[in-house]
Formats: sequence, C-alpha cells, structure tokens
Amino acid sequence: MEKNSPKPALKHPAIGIDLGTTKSCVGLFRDGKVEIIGNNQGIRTMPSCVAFTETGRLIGDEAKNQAALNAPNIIFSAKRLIGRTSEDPVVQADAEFWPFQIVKAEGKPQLQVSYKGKEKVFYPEEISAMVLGNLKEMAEDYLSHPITHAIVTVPAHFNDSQRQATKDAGAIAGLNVLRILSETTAAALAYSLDNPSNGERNVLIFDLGGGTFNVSVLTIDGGILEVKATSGDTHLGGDDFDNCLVSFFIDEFLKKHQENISKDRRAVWRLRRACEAAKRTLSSNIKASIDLYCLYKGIDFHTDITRAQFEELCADLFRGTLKPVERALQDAKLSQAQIHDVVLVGASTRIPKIQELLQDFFGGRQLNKSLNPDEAVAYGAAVQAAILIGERSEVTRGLLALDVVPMSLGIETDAGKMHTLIRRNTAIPAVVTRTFTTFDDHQPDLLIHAYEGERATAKENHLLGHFLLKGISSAPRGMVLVEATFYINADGILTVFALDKVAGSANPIAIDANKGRLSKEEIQALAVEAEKYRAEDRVQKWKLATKNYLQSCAFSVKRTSEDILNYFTLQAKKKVMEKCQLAFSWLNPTGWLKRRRSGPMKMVSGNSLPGLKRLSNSTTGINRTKPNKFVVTTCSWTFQFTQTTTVIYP
Amino acid sequence: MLLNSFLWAAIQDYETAQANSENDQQIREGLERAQRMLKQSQKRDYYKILGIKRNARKQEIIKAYRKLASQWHPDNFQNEEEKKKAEKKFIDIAAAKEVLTDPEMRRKFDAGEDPLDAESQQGGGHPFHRSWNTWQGFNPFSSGGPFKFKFHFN
Repeated sequence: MEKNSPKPALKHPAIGIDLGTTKSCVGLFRDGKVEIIGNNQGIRTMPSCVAFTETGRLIGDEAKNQAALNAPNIIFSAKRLIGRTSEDPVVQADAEFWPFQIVKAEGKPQLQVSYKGKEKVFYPEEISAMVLGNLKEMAEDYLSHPITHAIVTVPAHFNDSQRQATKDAGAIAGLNVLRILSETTAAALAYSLDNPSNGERNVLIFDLGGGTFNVSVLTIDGGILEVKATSGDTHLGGDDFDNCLVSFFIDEFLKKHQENISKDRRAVWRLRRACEAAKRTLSSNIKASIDLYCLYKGIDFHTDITRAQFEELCADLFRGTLKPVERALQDAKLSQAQIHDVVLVGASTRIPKIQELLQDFFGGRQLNKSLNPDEAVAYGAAVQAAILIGERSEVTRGLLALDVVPMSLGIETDAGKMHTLIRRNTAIPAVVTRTFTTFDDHQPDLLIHAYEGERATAKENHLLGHFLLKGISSAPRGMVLVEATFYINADGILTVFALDKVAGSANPIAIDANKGRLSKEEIQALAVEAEKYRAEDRVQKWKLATKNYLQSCAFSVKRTSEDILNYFTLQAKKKVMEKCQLAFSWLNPTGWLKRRRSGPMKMVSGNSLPGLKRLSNSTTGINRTKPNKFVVTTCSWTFQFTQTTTVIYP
Repeated sequence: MLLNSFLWAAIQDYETAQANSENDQQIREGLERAQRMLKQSQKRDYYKILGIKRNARKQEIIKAYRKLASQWHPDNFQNEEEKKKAEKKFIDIAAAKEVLTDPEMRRKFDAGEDPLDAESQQGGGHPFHRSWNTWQGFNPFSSGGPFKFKFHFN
C-alpha cells in the first residue's frame, strides 16, 4: 500500500475518474486543457468489469471479452451493489439477472468468485477499487508519473453510504480521493467550459448512463455553477433496458423451442451481450438481429427486433425518466420555458425515443448534444481536480461549482416522524446543530437515528445509521445539554460531532457511528490486499515481457547464425542451433506454466564487443550459465554492434 | 455590545418589576420583547453576512451571494487552516442566502425569528423520542464551530 501522506502534495497531478456502472473513464487536466486518457489500444472508456481466472485477474475490455465460458467469474455493475445492504430489494432483484454469485456477510453483499482455483469473496468496494486501480495505472502509464490524488464521480442522487463506500473504494485502490463529485455537476463543468457565457443561464443536465439516471438544474453565471436542484434514480439505465430485452428473448426462446434458458448462466450471459449490441444498433437502425449459435442444448437462436418493439418493451422505463426532470424543475422553482439549455450526457441518451420524449417535454426545443456523452463526466471531474489542487490556468480561473445535498437529512423524533435537519438541495458544505438532553436521571448515553429521504415517517426513509453519544456526564434528567453538530462535507458525507455543553470540552463525548460501512482498519487491510493483487499482476506481466524478450532474442540469434553461415564453421552453427533449441524448449508453454514462481525476473542488457568475439568464436549467442540464467548475445546484420542480454529467472 | 448591555439592563428591570407585580400584562410583554431582541442581537444577521441592505431585492441578494460564495468557497483554498475558516464563512453565507431568498423565511427573519433555529421552527415541545428530547434550540452557528471536537469515524 502506498503511504498515505496526510496532506495532498500540491505539485502532484490529480486525475478525474468517472466510475460508471458499466463503463469508466479517466481524464487529466494539463497545460490548460483536459486530456481523456485511452488505454494502450487507444480506447478511451473501459468496461467496469473484473474477471477472475485460473492464472490471474483481468480488468476492463479483457475481462468483458472473457468468453461466456467464465461467466460466473466476471463481475460487472459493482456500482449497483456499492453502499447497499444485502436486504435491499434492489440488490435481490438484480441478483436474478447476474451470472455471478452474491453472498451475505453481516448484512453486506459480497461477490463470490473462483480465483486461481480457490473460492474467494470480495466486497463491491474491492471490485470498484480494482477498476479504479486499473484506471490509475492507465493514467500513470500515460504520464510516466505516479498518481495518488483523484476525484471520483458518483450519481448526484447517491446517498451517504453509497458515497462513503465509493470513497472507501478509492482508498483501497491507493488513491487519495480529494472529492466525491456528482456526475451531473461534473458534466455541467464540462458544459460551462465549452459554452462560456457572461449572462445568467439555467441549464438542465440529463444524464442517463448504464446504470443510473440523474437530472440536475443549474444556474450558470460567469464561472459560477450553482446547483439549484437535483433528482434522479440510482437504478435506471442501459442495464435495465438490456434486462427488458433479455426477458423478452428468454420468453421468445421458450415459445419457439419450449426450453427455458434462464437458469443457464452462460447462455444468459451470451444473450445479454447480444441484447446490448442490438440495443446499440437500434439507436441508429430501425432493426437489429440476434444470431447466437448453440445458445442452449445445441439450439441456434436467430431473431430480429425492431426499434418500435424495443421502445414498447421499455416504454415505462423511458417515460419514467421524465418524472425526475419534473421534480428537479419543481425544486428549482423554474418552468420548462425558463431553461436555456437541455444538455444530454450518458451513453443511453443516444436512444432516439428518449430524446423524443425529452424534446416533447420541453416543447419541441432542440436538445444540446454538444458534449461527448461518454467522456463529459470524466472531463468535468478532471477540471474539478485541477481546481482543487490549485492548478489555476486561464481556463479554470473563476470556475466554481456550488453543489447541494441530494436528499433531505433528518432524525427520528418521538412519534417516529422524520424531523428534517438539512433540507434537500441545501448548498454543501453545511452544518446544523441541535441540543439534546437526557430523559432519565444519570442516563449515560443518547441514541440518534439519522435518516435521509423525503417521507414524513422516518421508517419510510433510508436509515443512514445510528449515532450513539457516550460518556455524558451523570446528572438528573434534563440537566445535561449535549450539543450535536451534523456536518455534511463537500463530498456530501455526513459526520456527527458532539459536545457536552455543561461539562464543556473537559468531557469529550464519544460517538459510536454505525453506518454499516467498512471500518478504517478493514479498509487498510483491504488496501494491503489490493496491493498484493496488483503486485501479482505486475509479476504476471513482467514474466510475459521477459519471456517474450528472451524468445525474440533466441529467434534473432538463430536467424543471424543462419545468415552469417560463411563466418561460422558448420560445427559452430550446430552448436548455436542447439543452444537456441534449448532456449525454446525452456520457454515452451507447458514448461513455462510449471515454473509458476513469483518474484521479478531481471533483464540486463548492454553493448559489448566481447559478445561479438564470443559469437564468432562460436561460444554462441545463447548461454545458459545457470539453470535460471541466460546470457543472450545478438548482433546486427553488419556486425556493427552487438548486444548482450542476461535474463535471470528467480 | 452597547445595545446588548442596554437590553440586559432592560430585562433585569422588567424582571424586578415582574417580581413585584406578577400579573401585569404590560410588564410581561415588555420582558418578552426585550428577551427576543436580545436573542436576535446574538444571532447571525443574514443581511450583514451578505453585506446588503434590509430592503435588498432578491436579485441583489443572489448577486451578493454568488460573489461572496465564489470568494469563500473552501475549494479555493489549499491550506487546511484557511480551508476550515473559509468553510465556516461559506456555511454562513449559504444559510443567509437560503433564508433571504425564501419569502416565507425572510418574513420570519424580519420579524425577529431565526427560521433555521430549531426552537422557533418547532415552537418548543418535546419532539424527540424515548430517552432524549430537545430541550432548547440553540443558535446553530454562533458557538465555537464543530471542528475543534474529536470525531470518530470517516
């Protein structure tokens, strides 16, 4: 684990990460502009997907492309689990569609996979941490500089525990998360950079991604972005549209072939991927076809779906996107006509029907599609990162996002009612202080139940946690005054402080906060473990690189010895060939797999004249000096230079 | 301060007067008024925080808020100490804007109540359950600030 320096060192770059349900993206602000970082194949978004195999762990595209063979060990959509309890009905409904196994651990959902032949369980935070870690490495490769600071975005409507869990994921990945930023706010930052204006403008950001849906209404005045209201659904997105299609085709398969495939995880996984592709096609074409060979019991599945059918299947979900829009406008006290621009973000806003519905809602107004729907959030996050680390350039000067609390926050009162302390859409950071007293004589502690939500009955809202105020000075009832301060920081995360008003700070009150999240120690332990996994990955990669290098050296020596036959005696040539053969057999896959030892391999290389001499002396190009040490001497065609490489395998 | 000590003196006078003639309506009203005024004088003055006149229009309030918010938002500061200081200021500024841009809350504030104060919102009573209840609403923001306390998670 990297040492957590207490204060962020300002000279270090900070990246902006859009940690999506289905896809993630990373951006960096440098020299006055944002660069979205691609992987080594130039792909700028990465599936938020982790696969576990016999030999190691795969993240991103490699994981997603893991064929259906490994379906139960491919974890995706961890964002739909993060910060939720395993009793959450949302979790249980989702679990039906997922090929991987969810197990319960003290009320928290965990994912069970088989990794290197062993059963292992992971928290959703750990899976997200793996994705974050991979994005971090991508950025490090790109910059050739270690990165420790990042901003991670979450849906604006994520609640306290989901935000906290996302932050924990960052810590596990070895990142110092400077801020948990709302996705819509990030998109608004990207929008305001692209559309600088002096007047006051009201903008509605409509962000429909793979798993979550958010609407924010902002007023942009100069560089100040004031979030007026935010609303959304943390469980609505492309994944749900896929689910509609999957259910539809499972029914169709049942009708056509009288076979129910829903229990076959591998078949469902293949069908899901085909549905996802069909859905994308339907955004530009009016018909898409699905062709799956041997989907189930050797039966092929060929079928079509039209755009109209798809729209009908998802009609309720599509229409459901308008409700949060209405609510956000209501909260912002603005009418449709007062909105200057409706900005689309998120891949699912490419669906024509959704655009049509939204356009109709705004009286036929043209929607703003100027932002890249996949990258805008990471773009904005990178800008916010630059602002936070104080990297002020022409572009970001004067830019400021004033964010809000997405849900009202309150405590349970006598009659089980919700007493709101901080109303939704209050600017953050925010503080509210209340004074409590004891009800019984010499009562030692106070228990506060904190909830978030808009319902009048506390129980109908989401329970944030219990705060137990301990160590209250002993006194008759009503004589103690405990001042509790509810503090929501700029991440939108709640903390409670307490002070005994009578005894003063002489009598500190301990707070047992039970928010159902991971403890500091657990996070630390997980971070250590994550570092172990990363080290294993590095060893794996390094092994491959050295193997590849030695192989190419051997080929080169073999070729050279053939080409320069004239200079060699026949016997010398035979000797060279033998040595090459030795190297090849040492490198062959079965032998290689047996030597599955950990630890780094070393490569030492340098130019040397003696190498040439040795080559011509037919002491040959490849020498196995020790069982685990090869010295390879290669030389250029023209004998201009030679290079000696030593490969040491531990 | 001068006003405060004057009010204190007035309250004391009223209290002595009340002790002498318990049921005098006039004295009781006077006492209550003086107490309310004292309380208000100890509270945040949202107009002062935003640096605007008491008759400022909504647009002016918003303009003043944006200007101050962009100046005092903690994101603009790197130093931890400055950040904390700015955060306290920003929270006051945001509260002032919240009260003054809401006609209902502004009316209440002009009438001498703090609409963000627990006591005036609930009108007293014992709203909290079981082992504890609110005893009195305090001015949430004037006391010390929360940051000097120990905190135990997160």
